[in-house]
Amino acid sequence: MGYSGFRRFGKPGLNRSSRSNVEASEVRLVAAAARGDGAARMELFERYRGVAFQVAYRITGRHEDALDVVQDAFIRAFEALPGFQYDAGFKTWLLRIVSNRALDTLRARRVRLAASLDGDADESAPEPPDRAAPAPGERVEREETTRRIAAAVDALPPDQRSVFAMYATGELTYGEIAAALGVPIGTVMSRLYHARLRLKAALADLYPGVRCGFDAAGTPAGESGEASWAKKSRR
Amino acid sequence: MTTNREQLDRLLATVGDGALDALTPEQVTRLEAHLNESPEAASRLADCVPPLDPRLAAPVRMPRRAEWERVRSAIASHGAARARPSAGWVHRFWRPLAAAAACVLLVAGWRTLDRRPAAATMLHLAQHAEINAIEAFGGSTALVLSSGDDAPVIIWVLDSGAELGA
Repeated sequence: MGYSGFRRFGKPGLNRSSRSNVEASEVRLVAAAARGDGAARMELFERYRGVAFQVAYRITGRHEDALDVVQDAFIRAFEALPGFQYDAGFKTWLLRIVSNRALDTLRARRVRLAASLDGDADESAPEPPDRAAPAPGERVEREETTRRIAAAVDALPPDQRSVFAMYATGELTYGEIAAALGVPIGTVMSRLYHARLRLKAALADLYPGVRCGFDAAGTPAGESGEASWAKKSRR
Repeated sequence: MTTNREQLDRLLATVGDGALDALTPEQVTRLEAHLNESPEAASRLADCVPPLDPRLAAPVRMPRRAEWERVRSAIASHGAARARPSAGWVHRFWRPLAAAAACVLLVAGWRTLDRRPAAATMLHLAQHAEINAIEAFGGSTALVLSSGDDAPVIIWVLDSGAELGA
């Protein structure tokens, strides 16, 4: 009976006192930015440009589009700051703007592609990320894997893609993703589950022996193929 | 035999431990409904960061410094442009404003001049006057007295009850 308790994976969590200190300082920073303080605005930009770019890139799939989305999102955020209520944090509010703008960009690109008589195939393919060059054979294999993952992410429905993009930053909690997207936590969990299911199906050869879920008796899927981080608990 | 609540708690614990993929789609549907209906259950998951699978989430190539500077400059210049609305507004509309102010001054000045009282009538003695008739009312009597042809003429009006004294 009971459960093992919940741990915060990834970054170590802040204790309540230090978290409140961080929040108080950010509230002051946001207030200054809302008054038009250029230095405060640039400080917020420096803090959150990275996570904003990651989300934008995973949704749009293109480096230049992601940069444009980040730029546009920060401009819009600063314009709307005087009306910001600071109930969910500046980061989650910013990421909501980023997500919406990125999805708009994606939709616009697909409309252009659909309307194009020539059907430029290159425009639909997400760019593989640049990497330092390893050995030629290894590089080709890695690039191919990356391309397949990017294509699989590109095929996700928009709602799952947004959740996955935020999850893939590795630094957002379920609560933050829910706040950023304006959906309940249960919905975030469900969309993330189905997004991962689709990606694993598309990349089945990278996940040998993995079966989804439980068998009829309620036994978890075979452990041999499970990702190493997955921990099963039976109460 | 476990209760429904215990089953949901176990599923929640599984997700909290980072084993979301171990659930079946049906279990996810049940757990989603439970989380969306129970704020307490949702709060248990709220602070959890779902663990990252590096095979699914490869690192993203971040922009170079020059690219960030370009974005930063665009944001800063947009903010600076928005911070000058009043000066720009005056600069654009000063001519019509000046014309309107001049019209207002003109009208106000004209109305002010129009209200000034008429110049006082200058009084002077008539050099040549000829009295043709004098009519007194209410029983009064009019007397015209003069001490000579070139002397001033004085017109007296006596009431009916007045008596001429010596």
